[in-house]
Amino acid sequence: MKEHFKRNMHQYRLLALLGILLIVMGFLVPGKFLTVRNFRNMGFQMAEFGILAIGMSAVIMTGGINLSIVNSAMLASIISSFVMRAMYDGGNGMAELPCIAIGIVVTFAVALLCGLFNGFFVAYIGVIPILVTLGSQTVFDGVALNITRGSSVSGFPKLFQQIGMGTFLGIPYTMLVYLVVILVAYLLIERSYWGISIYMVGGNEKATRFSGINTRKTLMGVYVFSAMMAAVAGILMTSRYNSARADYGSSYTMQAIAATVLGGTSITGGSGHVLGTVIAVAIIQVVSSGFNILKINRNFTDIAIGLILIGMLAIKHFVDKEKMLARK
Amino acid sequence: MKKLLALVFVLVMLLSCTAMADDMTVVVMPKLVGIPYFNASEIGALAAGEELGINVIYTGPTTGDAALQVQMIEDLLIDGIDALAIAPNDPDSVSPALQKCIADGVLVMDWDTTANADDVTYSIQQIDNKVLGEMLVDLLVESMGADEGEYAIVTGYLTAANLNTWIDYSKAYAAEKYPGLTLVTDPVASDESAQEAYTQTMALIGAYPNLKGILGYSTPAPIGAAMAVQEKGLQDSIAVVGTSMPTDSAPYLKDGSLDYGVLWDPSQLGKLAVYVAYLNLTGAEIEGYEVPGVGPIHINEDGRTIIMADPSVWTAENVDNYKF
Amino acid sequence: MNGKLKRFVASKEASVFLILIVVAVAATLMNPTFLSFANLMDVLKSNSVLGICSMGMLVIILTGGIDASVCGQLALVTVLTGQLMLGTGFDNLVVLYILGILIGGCTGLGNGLMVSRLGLPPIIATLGTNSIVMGFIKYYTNGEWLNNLPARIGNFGLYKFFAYSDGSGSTIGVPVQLLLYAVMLVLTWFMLRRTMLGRSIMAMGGNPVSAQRIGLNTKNLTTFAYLFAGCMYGFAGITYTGIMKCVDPNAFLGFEMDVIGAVVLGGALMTGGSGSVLGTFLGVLLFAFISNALTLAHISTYWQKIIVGGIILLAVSFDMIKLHREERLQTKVDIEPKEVSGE
Repeated sequence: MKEHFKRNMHQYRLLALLGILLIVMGFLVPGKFLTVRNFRNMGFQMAEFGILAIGMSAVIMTGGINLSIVNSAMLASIISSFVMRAMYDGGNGMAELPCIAIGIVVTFAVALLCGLFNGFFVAYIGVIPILVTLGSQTVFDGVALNITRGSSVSGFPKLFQQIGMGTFLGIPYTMLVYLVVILVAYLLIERSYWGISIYMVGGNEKATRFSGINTRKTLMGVYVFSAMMAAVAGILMTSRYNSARADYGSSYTMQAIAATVLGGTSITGGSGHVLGTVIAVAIIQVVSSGFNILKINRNFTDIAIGLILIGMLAIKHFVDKEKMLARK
Repeated sequence: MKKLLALVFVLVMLLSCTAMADDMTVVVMPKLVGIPYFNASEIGALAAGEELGINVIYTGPTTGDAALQVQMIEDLLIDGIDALAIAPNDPDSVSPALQKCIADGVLVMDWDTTANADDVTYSIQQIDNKVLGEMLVDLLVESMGADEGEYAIVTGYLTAANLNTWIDYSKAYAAEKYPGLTLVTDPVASDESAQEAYTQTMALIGAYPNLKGILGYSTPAPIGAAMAVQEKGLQDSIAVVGTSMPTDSAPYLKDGSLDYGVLWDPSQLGKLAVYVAYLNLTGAEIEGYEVPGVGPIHINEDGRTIIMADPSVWTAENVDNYKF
Repeated sequence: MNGKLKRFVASKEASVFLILIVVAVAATLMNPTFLSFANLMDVLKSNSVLGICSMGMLVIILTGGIDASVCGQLALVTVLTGQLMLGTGFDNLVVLYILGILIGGCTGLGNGLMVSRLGLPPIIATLGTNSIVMGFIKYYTNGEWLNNLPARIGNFGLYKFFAYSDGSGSTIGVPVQLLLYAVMLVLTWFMLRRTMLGRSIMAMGGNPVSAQRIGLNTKNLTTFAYLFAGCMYGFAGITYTGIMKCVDPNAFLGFEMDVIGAVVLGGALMTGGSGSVLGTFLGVLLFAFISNALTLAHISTYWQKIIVGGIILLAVSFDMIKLHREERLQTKVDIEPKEVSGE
């Protein structure tokens, strides 16, 4: 128990910070922040960002980065939106449910292609991830702009909106999807053979390869996983915004990296936990929502998140160092 | 530890019960904060709040990301507001969030950029989009001194809905009225940055040696285009016309690199939005109401659209009269 | 000489150079204007700021770091010096440049200390700096442009050497920014190749553990790299104000990606220790020419993005494929020692 606590010190510190933030916000916005309504509201918002952050985390754990994650999400959404709109045809075409099902399948298929594209360059050609994804970000964005000419695509079955707006026993569907994604990601990354190979590749790719693990498959898998997360987030976003456009969620890329690192994943790879990212996402959500409700100038949200990031990582660094010294 | 937690909990609950005074709160949300255009409208909106003695909140995202705007609307709704005037980054994306507002009994209006008709009670527009789009073409032809020749378009973002609307009206009008005008290539994006507009215009001038005119959409685009024309010393052979802020464009208007700047006073637009919200919430008559410094309000036949005025045109002579 | 040539052909710079030539030839065939002196000078002028910043970024990347705060640092320099010029009418260019370098140096030093002393991963330290600095700047300036700067700075920006008029009213010549860029190129090259300091940075980036073992003070070297970069951004900031004749606090959003992209296109390794001034220069040229060439070649805006992304991917893959082939030729096993990081 003590060992577990020590090993996950950073996550407990994050949890404590989250608690403190909730209490502070509760005091600052009495009667409005700590309410079921606001938690439901945050639940609606957090899912898409959290899922993208988990997709980013897996890539960062291998020592890579995925700058194209939001663009793959939007490209997949745009193409599936076109498909859905054409099939639904304003109610004259296919019935709602099969139409939505096909739309979802198309989203996953396009995202899969995006993931394979990134994975191919990283795993099989060996180009560094930041460059591959910088290039593919431009390509995906270019394709999306080319087919939409910059405007948004809408005109889906009404039912499709329910994914992003509906609730089950008062819990938003988006939140339920998020919980399932967290569970799946946790099992895949922290409890499976493939997951272990992710950490190993992140720690030392060459040594991992020489120890007989197919690092190419591991890397390819990670980019595909990341793209699948993008697809899920893309579906939620398309439903929540009732449309798809090339630049939706453009601010999520940097935020997802920040959440991953705040959650304790080392940017050089080899370490990190899914739950750490999840808590970090919650912290960013609470700060962002709280500041919005308080109507504090949005610029201070960026400043606050920057300060939290640097502060928490500096603490982590010094505590780790002390631990190392103590062990000696 | 448990006692402490319980104490904190009780305190929070107590504080929650002390409801705040019931003022009228009107939220005016721009596409993004921190750019000159929306700063100017903030001044007008806040001034109107003071004149009317109501609580006006001017807040928006720091980048023009539709997703952020939706989150802000949802968060503000938690706090409870009476009216929301929004300049949507994308009409479709804010639609579900605006429907939530309506379900909550909030008066929803749009300003600057139109939202979907079903989502708003009033639509406050600075100008008639068609009038602006056509006016830009007329001014371009006037400054080119000929109704034929090559022209190019420099825009803000390729995804900006209102810019695209103006561009479409301009293109259609040019094709119909001035068949001699040829658009050399698709609109070139300047990412709302004067530097990028300058770089792109430099390349355009190189690529199309017969270029006679440039239309700039979004406020930094004409400035950047004018910078390039000025640097090339082509003030006399290339006409630049576009939507720009008068103080930013003054130096370029005066040396002839920018021929006409067209816009409206964004502060008046902010003011008008707040007044309409106030009048509706207090149940007063909107049609014909005289807004101080703006003029009488006129609602169009659709019962929804309120158009502020015709756009103002700045030239080298009159630009110093405007202070925004 | 022959040996040198051979080494160049085998180098990373050569592949960037090759792609650059292909782009240039294709562009010239599509539109001969591309190769005109006036066009080349224009492109170099508008990309001189990118070029100067890339020198700073190169030194940081050589240490194995990265700087995501280019935007914030440039904005801070241009806004502060712009305010000074507006407020007091101060227009001494030399002092302005020194001030710019000092301001950039301060933020750079801050970054460097956070990375070397607080042990923050570079991308996080600089992302944090960026969001904090940009947050304050945007709050303080409200994104308002600073216009009506003293005429001297604008005239300086327009200055050209060997200027002559081409008859249509344009003046053609070598822009002053090109000279400034060249000076920074030489300075960085000299620092990296001819001083102990630069040598140590190269050595450290290649292998921090053994660098420490042979007695290099890696903390101070890292701090210096960020300080140096900050000074470069400061220099670039004043140059930028000269070109634009006004200050837009939001002008640099996303600029860091261009700078990083140019450096890495030029063959520098993100893991540190490998990269050159020449390569970075070629990377900047490639970056600048692609966009210019696409417009000159009358290619629609919507396609430009796809092509730019494609060329980036092609350029970086080219290198790796060449490397793989070499590796296959010399089948030897070498395991790089890697620093145990984080947890």
